[in-house]
Amino acid sequence: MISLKNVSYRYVGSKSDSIADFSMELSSGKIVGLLGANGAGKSTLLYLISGLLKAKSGDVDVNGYNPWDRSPEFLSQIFLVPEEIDLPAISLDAYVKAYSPFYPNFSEESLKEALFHFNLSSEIHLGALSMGQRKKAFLAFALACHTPVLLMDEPTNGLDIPGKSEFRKAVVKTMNDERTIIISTHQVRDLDQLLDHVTIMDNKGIKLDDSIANLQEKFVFGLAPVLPENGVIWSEPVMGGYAFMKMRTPDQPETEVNLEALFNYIYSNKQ
Amino acid sequence: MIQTDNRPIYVRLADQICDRILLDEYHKLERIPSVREYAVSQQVNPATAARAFEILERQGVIFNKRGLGFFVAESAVELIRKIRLETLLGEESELFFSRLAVLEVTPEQLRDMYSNYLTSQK
Repeated sequence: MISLKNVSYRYVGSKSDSIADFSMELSSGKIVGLLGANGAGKSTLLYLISGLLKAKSGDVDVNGYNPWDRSPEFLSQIFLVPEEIDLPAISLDAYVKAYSPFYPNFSEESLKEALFHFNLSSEIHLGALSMGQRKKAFLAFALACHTPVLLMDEPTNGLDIPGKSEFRKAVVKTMNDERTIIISTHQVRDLDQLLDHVTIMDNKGIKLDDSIANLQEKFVFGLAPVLPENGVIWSEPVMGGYAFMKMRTPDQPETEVNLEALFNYIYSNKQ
Repeated sequence: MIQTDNRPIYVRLADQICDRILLDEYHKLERIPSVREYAVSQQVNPATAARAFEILERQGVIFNKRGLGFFVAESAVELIRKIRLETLLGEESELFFSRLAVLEVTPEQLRDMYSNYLTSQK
């Protein structure tokens, strides 16, 4: 369980809070998509959860730990994949020897499998990799650590096309009921089919926090050459017609959640 | 091109498993891949795959043997055909029939069209 209560954070030199009076709760066993416009505080939130930043006020609790205490026990249970990755110029082998002992659930087999599917040899040198390869190597290591909490900031940025699909498979393979995975992203089409839960935020707080199953029950998402006459709450012209969103009535079949439409709908409601 | 299939992933997965049963890739009374295996191969959330399996179990297309996994029901093929025919003649035919009515197509014309179609397929 991850819970934040009335959390605020302000970067040094900034005139306003990056996150203000922010509260949310997440139970385990979920893959959560964290969406928000640029500057909404998504990365800040991930850094607060992982103990890289200290909240100015409010409480952060991750599986019973206060992240800012940065106890070795807590740190062995959480892994953060930042958007930009700096790796030391050493061999992957040396890296794994140095870092895997911090993670009790680390699996050599998961690492090998992920590297293989990412088309990377396990004999690579981390200093001699392209940006995308570096990301793949780090993601493979992150997934192989099997930490109860895994946070990923824009994980698909820089991945090639087969890499994205291998990434999705690897996430599903390493997922279980005790694990919480939070993925912050703008690339919703890369990841929407992985998600259980969607959280849309801006720096004032949570704008939407719901399970995919509930969203399928509440809304109808469609594409049509002509806009339906009744009940449309959001629409946008797309090639060949309109993408639209309606409130669902119980007699209507459920539709797949269109996260781009949902995001634009939520952000267009400036209550 | 407008993509018209906006059905939820769990519905599409259930449909896909039915296709595999109809195409004889999954045989009656044999085990099908587990929820997890299916989720990985389709790159979807395990809960979504579980939902697809639940629908099929409720419909009687597959059944669960405790600790062993899901198996194709003895009469799965007949059942899938029956369910699909009901959907086709129900909600799916409505738009088609409403268009026929607007164009004043008679039942006889429709019958002839369908006979011709069947002949052309032979």
